[in-house]
Amino acid sequence: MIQLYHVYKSYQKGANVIEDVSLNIDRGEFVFLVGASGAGKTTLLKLLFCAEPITSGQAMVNNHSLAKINPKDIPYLRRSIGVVFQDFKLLNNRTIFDNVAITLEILGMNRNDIRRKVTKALKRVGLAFMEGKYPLELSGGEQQRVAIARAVVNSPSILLADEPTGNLDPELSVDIMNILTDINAMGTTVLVATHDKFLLQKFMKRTIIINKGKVSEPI
Amino acid sequence: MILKKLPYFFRKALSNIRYSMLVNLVTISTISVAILIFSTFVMIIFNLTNLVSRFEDDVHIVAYLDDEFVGGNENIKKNLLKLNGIEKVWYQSKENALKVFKESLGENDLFLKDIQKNPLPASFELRLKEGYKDRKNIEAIAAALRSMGIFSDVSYGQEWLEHFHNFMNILKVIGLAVGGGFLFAAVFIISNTIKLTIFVRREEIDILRLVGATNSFIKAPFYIEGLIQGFVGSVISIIGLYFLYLVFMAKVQTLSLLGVNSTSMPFLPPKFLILLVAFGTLLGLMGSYISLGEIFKRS
Ligand SMILES: Nc1ncnc2c1ncn2[C@@H]1O[C@H](COP(=O)(O)OP(=O)(O)OP(=O)(O)O)[C@@H](O)[C@H]1O
Ligand SMILES: [Mg+2]
Repeated sequence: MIQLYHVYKSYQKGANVIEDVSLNIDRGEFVFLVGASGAGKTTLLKLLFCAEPITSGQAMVNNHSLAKINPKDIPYLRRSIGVVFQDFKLLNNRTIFDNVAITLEILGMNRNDIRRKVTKALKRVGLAFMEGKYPLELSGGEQQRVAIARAVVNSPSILLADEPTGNLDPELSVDIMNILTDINAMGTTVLVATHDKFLLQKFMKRTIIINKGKVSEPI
Repeated sequence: MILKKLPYFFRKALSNIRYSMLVNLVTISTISVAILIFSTFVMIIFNLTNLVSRFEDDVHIVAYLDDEFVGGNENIKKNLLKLNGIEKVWYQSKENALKVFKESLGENDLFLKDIQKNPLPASFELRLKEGYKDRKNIEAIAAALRSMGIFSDVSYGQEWLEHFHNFMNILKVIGLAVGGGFLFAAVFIISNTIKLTIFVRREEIDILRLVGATNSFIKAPFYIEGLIQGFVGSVISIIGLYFLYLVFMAKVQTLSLLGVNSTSMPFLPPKFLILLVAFGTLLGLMGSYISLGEIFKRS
């Protein structure tokens, strides 16, 4: 599903932010990506959905080669990947419902199907009653769950979650992790970037450690 | 696929317009003013062209028969009909000419009583075929008539029409230049306001990209926005034009100028109005096309 082979990434001729990363994540896996702030977690995720180009190396995501991908194919690759952004990236001038619906609108889905799926996704993250509100009327944790709903509403084959529990209290973090493991249980490959040690201990999952752009895996 | 998304694009464009109402109002009024100026010229030129062609339809040649000449007029008529571009020929005898002249004088024919000899010549009036009513053909026909040697005079009231033609051509050039200038300005302003609305929504555009929207999906609502601006703007300008027309006609009628009325000076026919609206819509589309091209090339 996700294969990296000697991947490097640097921003504008700077130092390597990702350095010689090789890893393999199979379909249906649940993987933690752990590392300190600035270690390169977000950058690594960005490579996977083509928000940033890889500088060198080979990478395959959902049968697309990231090094050789045609710009025209990028939207289609992104449609198979749900992303929960570290900063949520919600539209503050759109309702919660509309924020989640974006993912489906770009597919040209009809309004009834959109309504059904968005309602279901919001229910799954426990926000069904909030659909008419605007992001800024929600708490941080609620916004985070909207971002998750938007990422999973189209049942993507891969879910990338960047600090989905950042700045949340432990109880809420567990809530959100439960949502993610539910989604994983339904067949979605999940990669969660985090620096939350508590989560790693509570949810015993495969863990990839990233440190100054290099990855390692405790066996 | 595109068709399926069309309702979405329209909803999106309308919400864009609602969201940046002020900017859109500026654009729409710019288009209105540009099309209004342009269509005013179109209407003036349209009416003057009508006028000219009505006069042109009326163009004919009168050839006055030399009094010395004696011979059958039927024969001459036959020969005249053989000339290029002649549609019809009427003969008017000396007596008939005098009769018509007397009738036109009415009661004032006193001074004709003294005249012994009829001073009026017999004449042939020649109607021209379509396509022969321009100056060049008329002069050729007149020359041919003169060379027959049996006419004392050949006359045609063409000169002033020619001047009028020149005037029309100048008017067309000015109309095109001024109207075109305004249209060009309109495209420029549209493209800039659309750039502004795109700038306002760049965050949304980024997010749409990240969740897998194609470029054409992102652009489509902006095209439709330009299209709507162009359409609404040109419809408003036509309403404005009609209003100006009514005001003008009312003014002219109180002055009872030259028998001008709605038949002799009609409003633009529907075909023109549709073309103007189509043109304005295209203008809006062009404005968005330009700005989208610029912005999407950069990113
Ligand atoms: N757009 C960019 N241009 C230049 N440098 C960048 C850019 N984005 C990130 N970096 C640099 O790359 C390094 C890794 O950043 P990244 O955001 O991947 O870290 P992270 O592991 O996600 O950190 P955090 O836990 O704080 O989110 C940092 O040193 C950062 O300064
Ligand atoms: Mg990060």
